[in-house]
Amino acid sequence: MPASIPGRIELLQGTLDMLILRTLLFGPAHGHQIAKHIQRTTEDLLQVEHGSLYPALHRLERKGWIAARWEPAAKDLKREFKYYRLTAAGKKQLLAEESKWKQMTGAIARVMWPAEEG
Amino acid sequence: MSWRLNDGWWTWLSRERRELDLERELRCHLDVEAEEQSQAGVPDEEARYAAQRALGNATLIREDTRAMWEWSSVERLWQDFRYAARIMARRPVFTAIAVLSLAIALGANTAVFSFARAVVFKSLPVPGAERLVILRQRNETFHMENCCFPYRFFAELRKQDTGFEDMLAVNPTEIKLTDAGQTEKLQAEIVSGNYFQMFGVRPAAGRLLSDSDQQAGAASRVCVISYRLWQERFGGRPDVVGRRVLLDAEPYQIVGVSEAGFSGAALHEPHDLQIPGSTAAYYQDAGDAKGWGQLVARLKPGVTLDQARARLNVIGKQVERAVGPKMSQYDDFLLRDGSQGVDSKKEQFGKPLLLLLMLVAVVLLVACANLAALLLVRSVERMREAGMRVALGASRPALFRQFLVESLLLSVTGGLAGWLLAQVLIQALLDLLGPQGDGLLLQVRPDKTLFLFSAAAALAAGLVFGLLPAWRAAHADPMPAVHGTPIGSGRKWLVSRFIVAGQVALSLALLFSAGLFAQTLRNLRSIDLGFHPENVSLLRIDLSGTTYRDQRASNYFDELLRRARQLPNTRAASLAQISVLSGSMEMITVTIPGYASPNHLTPTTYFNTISSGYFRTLGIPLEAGRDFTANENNANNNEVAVIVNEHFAHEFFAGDALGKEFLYGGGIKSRVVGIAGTAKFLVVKETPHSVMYLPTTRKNYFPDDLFLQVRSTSDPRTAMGELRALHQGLDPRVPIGSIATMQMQIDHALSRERLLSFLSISLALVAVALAAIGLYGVLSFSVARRMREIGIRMAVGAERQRILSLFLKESTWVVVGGIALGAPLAFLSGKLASSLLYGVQPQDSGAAVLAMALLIGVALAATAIPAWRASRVDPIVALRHE
Repeated sequence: MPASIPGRIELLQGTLDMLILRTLLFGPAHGHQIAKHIQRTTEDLLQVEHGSLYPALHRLERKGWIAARWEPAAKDLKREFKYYRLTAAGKKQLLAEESKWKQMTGAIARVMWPAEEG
Repeated sequence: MSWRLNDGWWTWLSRERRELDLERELRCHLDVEAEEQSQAGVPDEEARYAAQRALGNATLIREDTRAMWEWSSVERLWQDFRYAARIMARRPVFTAIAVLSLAIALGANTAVFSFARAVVFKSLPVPGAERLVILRQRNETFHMENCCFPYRFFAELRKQDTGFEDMLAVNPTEIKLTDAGQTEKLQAEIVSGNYFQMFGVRPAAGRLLSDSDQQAGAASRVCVISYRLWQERFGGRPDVVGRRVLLDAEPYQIVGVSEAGFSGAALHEPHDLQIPGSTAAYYQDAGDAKGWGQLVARLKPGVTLDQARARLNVIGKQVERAVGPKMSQYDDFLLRDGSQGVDSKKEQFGKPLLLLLMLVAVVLLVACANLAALLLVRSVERMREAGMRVALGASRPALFRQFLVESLLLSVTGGLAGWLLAQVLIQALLDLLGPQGDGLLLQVRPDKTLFLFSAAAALAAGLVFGLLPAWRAAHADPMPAVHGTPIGSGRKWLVSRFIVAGQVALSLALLFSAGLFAQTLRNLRSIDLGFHPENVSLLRIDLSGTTYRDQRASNYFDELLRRARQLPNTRAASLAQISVLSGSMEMITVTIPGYASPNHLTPTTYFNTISSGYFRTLGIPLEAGRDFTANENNANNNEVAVIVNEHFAHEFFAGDALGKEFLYGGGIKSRVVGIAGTAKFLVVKETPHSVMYLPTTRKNYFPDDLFLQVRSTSDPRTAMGELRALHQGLDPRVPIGSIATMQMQIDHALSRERLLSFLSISLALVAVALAAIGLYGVLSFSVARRMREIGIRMAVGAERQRILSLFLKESTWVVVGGIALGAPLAFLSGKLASSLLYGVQPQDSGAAVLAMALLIGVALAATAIPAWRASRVDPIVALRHE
């Protein structure tokens, strides 16, 4: 297992679902792409152990927020990947989580930096 | 939402596909990651490992992902079961021992429980059965309890204000039902009109009886049949209501069918037909023994048994003074538990069955302990497997579950086999009980409750023996498994030794009580009966209900006797009204000139009516005087010639009875013509009792129900066949009451003791065998575990003798500890059984020594093999071990 790189933040419990859903808003993606995307957009700050992605993907699939299908890759038609895409229920869920998250971060920000508010 | 259901369904069906899917998905991930790594300049084989590191613990990921799938808990269980089944198949000997011992223990538990439930726990299927009581009255004159009361007394008592809500009269009888030309013997009840109303039984068809049927008189002869008879005899046809049938050759009309499940006032003796008392013309005639009935009452809510009895003793005695029967003022009324109705077998078999239930529970405990010890030993063996799986990322709850599932699979398999075995055992127990068990047939049949009991016992057993090994496995240390060092510390191994010691203790208790019961049976069998039962066959003929009446009946029996005596192998033959040790007797008062009773009571004696040759047939010595002649008292009506037994002669005539006169039955003159030896009459255990014999040939006596007794040189089976042929040749229309040998009759009289002795010995042997298996298994493992140590010891010069004694000593401690633990248990079990013993003390030392000796012998044999094997070990091989 890789030693944790200094400066990386352990992913908050429960936020992985939201990140996955948000990632899939751009269009279908397979597991590796999702992991890389999260890593890249957070500029490697968020550490997503690739393995922890799969239980989350299967859970989201079972809840009906995402759907999966094996499809040939866009670049290389000979290779197939399991692509996940957002469902209508998933979009709704993403909106709900997003507003919840905004409320929470806003609330935390008000506590942490009260001066900037006023 | 339907798509989720479909999704789940799909998952369930294509478990394999989903596994493959996940594997493929992970492989794709690793491929892409490895490609990216190598593009970034990492060497190819390094790239693969880097990808794996980035992915993390693959086993854990798979488990976690599977956990997300629908139905996964059921599937996991299914997987565990399949795995457990493979493990079971891989260890056939262990599995066979486990399943077989569980099947025996669970089967025995189920079978004995079905009897205990029928005899002890069940009550009549009527509302308020728990408040039912049976009226009895102490009878000081005859040292007995009156079961029955005349109808007049019942009718009068019912009018009084007692502690009872209501009260009914019932008189069980055998009746011949003739319908459509076919005759069949049935158990019937002659009942008071309020019978069904008080029991709260509803009709399944037609109507039931009411008080008006009681008053109707002989003009309207009606009866009610049971649901079972309706279904089995009349095919459940609705036209059975109003149907005319013959009961004992008299015309009756079936007016209704009682509801399903109701089979009369006796839980342990089903009755299929009820006739109102008046139409049977029975209850009116108080002089006839058949006119008396048993009284069942239901207590008013809130009235206690004691209150009701106190009230009954005032009112009941007033009623007795007014309408009879004549009883002494000391004859108190008693109330017995009536929740099982009349003729309950609880008194006779309740205690032994509860005791047996305890014994089988102990055997189950021994079987569980045995499996726990063996599984513990194996769980130590399998520590390596468990440790490896923990190292590979299996969660501890998953391991725990998997090991427990293995135990449960064993117990469920054992339970199913036990359920099948129980059906065989129930039949065997019924056979063992003989005619006593006939009435229980309906009550011991397997049903839902019994199956639930059986299943619960199996699951409980699985938990009992599976929890500890599963817990042990779940806490396996991965390190020794990874390092390959020996596993199973001494402390852990100690637990299984304690369990085996516990097994030894329980086995000792079982062996000891088995010894007590066997000794009891032996004592009862070796009691001097005062006669010789060997080679005596008995044929009972009941002429009531046939066309043979009075003198014709007498002639029939005379002819039967004459022909029996002409059989080539007959040594002696005779007739008797009562067959000894059959459980029936008759008593009568006697008035002896010059004899003063030591208490205020009128003296009584047993009596029997016999033909000449009775004493020769049974082998009872005639001590003085003579036997009856072939036509004793044929003409003389003034004085009856009697033979008395020695006890009678000593009790009433100080030994000098021959030729003496006395009165019996309130004034019949009699003279003693012979004195016979004192023989057992009613039960094997009885203290000597006075018996008076009257001649069958006495004037105006016309028997209709007699035993033909034949002493023959033929073997018993042939002799019974000869009697059957004899009866056929005389008049085949006359039904055979019963046919048996005297030995069979004695066996029936001892059925309770035989049941206890046979079952306790079988159970004890099973327990001992299990303890031996446990000891053998645990010691074998100890030898295997210490192979390296043995090798070293031998390498440094230890003799084989020493190695042998090392292991013998080890098991000696287990056995000695078990015996020390078991001794108090054994004496406790003896104490519990004390009321069922005869001629043996509950702390009998002989049985104790025997039990210990047997146990030590078996234990020695079980340890000798592994210990000897240890001493034969080749040190080179042993050191290379592991």
